[in-house]
Amino acid sequence: MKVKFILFITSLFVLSACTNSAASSESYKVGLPEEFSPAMLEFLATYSMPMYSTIHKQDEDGFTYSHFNVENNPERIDYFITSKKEVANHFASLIQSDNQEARFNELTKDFESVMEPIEEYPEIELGEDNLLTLRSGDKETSIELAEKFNWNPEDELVVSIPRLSDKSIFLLLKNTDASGENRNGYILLSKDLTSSFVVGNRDSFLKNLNNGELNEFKDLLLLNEQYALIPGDTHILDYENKTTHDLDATKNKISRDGKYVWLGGNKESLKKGTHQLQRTEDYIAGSEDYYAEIQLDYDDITDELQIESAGVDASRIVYFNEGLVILYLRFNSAITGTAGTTNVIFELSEDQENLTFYLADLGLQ
Amino acid sequence: MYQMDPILKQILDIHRAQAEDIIQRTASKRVRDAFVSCWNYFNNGSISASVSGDKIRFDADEIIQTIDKWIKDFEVCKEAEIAKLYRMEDPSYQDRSRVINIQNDIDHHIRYIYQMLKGKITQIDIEFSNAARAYRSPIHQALNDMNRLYSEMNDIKGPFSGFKDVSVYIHGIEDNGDSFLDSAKKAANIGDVLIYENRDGDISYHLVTEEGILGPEVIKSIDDLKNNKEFSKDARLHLIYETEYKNEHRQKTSDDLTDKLIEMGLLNEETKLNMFAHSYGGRRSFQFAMDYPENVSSITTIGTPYDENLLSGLANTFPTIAGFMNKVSDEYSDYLDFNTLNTTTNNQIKFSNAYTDMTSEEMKEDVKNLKSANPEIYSQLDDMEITAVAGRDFHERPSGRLGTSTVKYYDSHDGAVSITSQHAESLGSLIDQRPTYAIEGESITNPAHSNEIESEEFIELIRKVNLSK
Repeated sequence: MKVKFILFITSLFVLSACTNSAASSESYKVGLPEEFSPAMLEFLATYSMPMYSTIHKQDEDGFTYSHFNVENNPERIDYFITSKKEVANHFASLIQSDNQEARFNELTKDFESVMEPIEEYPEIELGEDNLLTLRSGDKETSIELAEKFNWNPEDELVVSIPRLSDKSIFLLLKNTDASGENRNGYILLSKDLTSSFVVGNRDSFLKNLNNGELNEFKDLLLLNEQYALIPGDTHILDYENKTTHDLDATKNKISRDGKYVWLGGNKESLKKGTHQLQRTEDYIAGSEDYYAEIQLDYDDITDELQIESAGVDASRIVYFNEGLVILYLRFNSAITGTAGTTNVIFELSEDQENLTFYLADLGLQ
Repeated sequence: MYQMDPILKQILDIHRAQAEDIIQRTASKRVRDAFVSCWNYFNNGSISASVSGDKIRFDADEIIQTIDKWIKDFEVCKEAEIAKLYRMEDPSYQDRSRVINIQNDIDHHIRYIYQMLKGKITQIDIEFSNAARAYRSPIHQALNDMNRLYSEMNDIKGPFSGFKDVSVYIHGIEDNGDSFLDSAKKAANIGDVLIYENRDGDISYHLVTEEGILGPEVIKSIDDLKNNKEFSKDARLHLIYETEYKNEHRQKTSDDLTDKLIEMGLLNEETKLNMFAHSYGGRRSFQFAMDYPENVSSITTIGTPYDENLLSGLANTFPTIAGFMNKVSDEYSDYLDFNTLNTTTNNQIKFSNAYTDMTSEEMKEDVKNLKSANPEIYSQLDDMEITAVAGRDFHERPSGRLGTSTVKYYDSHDGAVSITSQHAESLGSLIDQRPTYAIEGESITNPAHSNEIESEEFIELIRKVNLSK
């Protein structure tokens, strides 16, 4: 009865406070959903990939991975593929597991068993003196990275492919011996290696986008008609207005795909109450349109988990992507000690009216 | 005088021979006494085996299994005699009364004595376990020392040998390492490695990079960590240590931590350890520093009860009431202290834990004993940089005529431990610094004590200590 009353009051509050988004009501379920949604499968496939890998949504069916294999000499990019069905089967035993944290750890460590190697992408190798060699069919080209980016030939480099399209590849080169702006270098290239473009930093990107030099690779960069985002960056390139916008990542949490901003989501601890999420373009425009508004009620969560808690000690976002959010909560025990932890998992969509929070401890912190 | 049926006597004779064999094998006077006293009730001969030998070989489970088998022998005998009676065409009165007597002897006499014997063996097992538990820690320490010496002499490296600067974080009672992991991450510098092994055995590796901290979503194994191009042993390694039992005694923590550091290759002359601890974790780190002073360069504690603690004393005396607050003051901890006051008994098993320790011993007692027993180690402890931070609660009240401004009122404790105790005033000049931090808290349920690890000032202090090589 008490819960219903709180939900009713909460609903009234949301209705009156939010003018541009639909009110949502929350319900709680202890454990994981009975079956994994596409967004949850994407999370599982993302979290489980090996170190130095990047994931690419292939199509409706599955995922492609590019993996920088540092144990080879020369180091190279390997490609793998897995289907959503295989991901679902691999993690099926997690749902009913008695110890979901331990099971989750086991399954993520064993995930490579469902990744099948494929060879349809160009061969990319990093050899001595940081010489990058690319091969596709009969075509082969080499790039001296030290010279191109003004690095030392002996610097430790990591090569990754943060974005991949049907026609093109976005190569990110990270110099772990450098710092600041000089740490990253970018190469855009067509899959058949007929064209490539080397970019040094954010300003060059904006300039190159504006003068049309990157038109061929726009599908790797664009968020929409006006904005582009460099992988891993928190500044939006506004190539229509020839400027950049800071998403203030020290305060806000940016979704993995860069499309959404959780206002205040990167603060020390997520406060109990209403949280607002915006599309990136709405955030830049200073609009009051919210993609979603989330009510976080820690008392309800504590009651659902039947934890004797003296309060929430830590609360933060551990995964935020289109369609799915995972939070971490830690509860204090009275006087001293820890009362327990949980992950809060919920699906996210625009104007979502009925939001279900799944409370399961996967050990994600 | 009533005489037992000869068939029962025959079986008892066989059991007696086996009992004598058990006594000789165990070579325990306590076991012999148990068998002798039980056999006297049978009024069927006595146990004559003597006890000799230097080593006691006692396996309670094996002896109890043998006694269970003896009980079964009599059950089989009883059933055979009943079946034989039923097969008789016209059994006499003597035949019937014989079987009734056998049945009564087995059900009400022999079985009872054998059960009593099993109880005595269980009791001996508990007494042996209690005695063995008391000696486990000294043996563990001796084995650790041998292990360390062997590793040094044979130049055996651990997976993290080569790290020179190591921070070790130790939590307090009823806690785990989660909060310290958060604070250690905040205090860490680019390049630093953090390792957190929880009491379930799960290990997570974290690497601080310019873009942020890579955690288990990227680094899934020690190989991943070592293969990462930003991994370097020139950086600092942060070990967030979680105790096997959350309320275990400080000596057990010290013994287990030693094991862990040897295994990792971090207990050697080149590696200097900076210990950080909260609450009872302070006593745990102090114990480790007393055990291995040459390896520790600093201890930094916050909220540590160096003196006897009133709340833990109450929890120790009234475990049921503590249970209402979700405190497990009688949690079994696989350690027994030689100080009989520093023990508790649960289901006849004696052990010592953090609660018995805080109730019965002040750290100054151990330090005083150390000073007289081994002045050299005391001197090393004295050279160590020791900072005992006190957290304290505060509340704000309106002030001024219009009540427009506020004034902070500070308590003399952090909701669990007094400032005097946290500052280890009783340890005198052994403590180099005694800062006091105001920490936010709410009432007794969520006092400042609970929030000390995450306090900005404490994190800043960790950062400073980590930077001073």
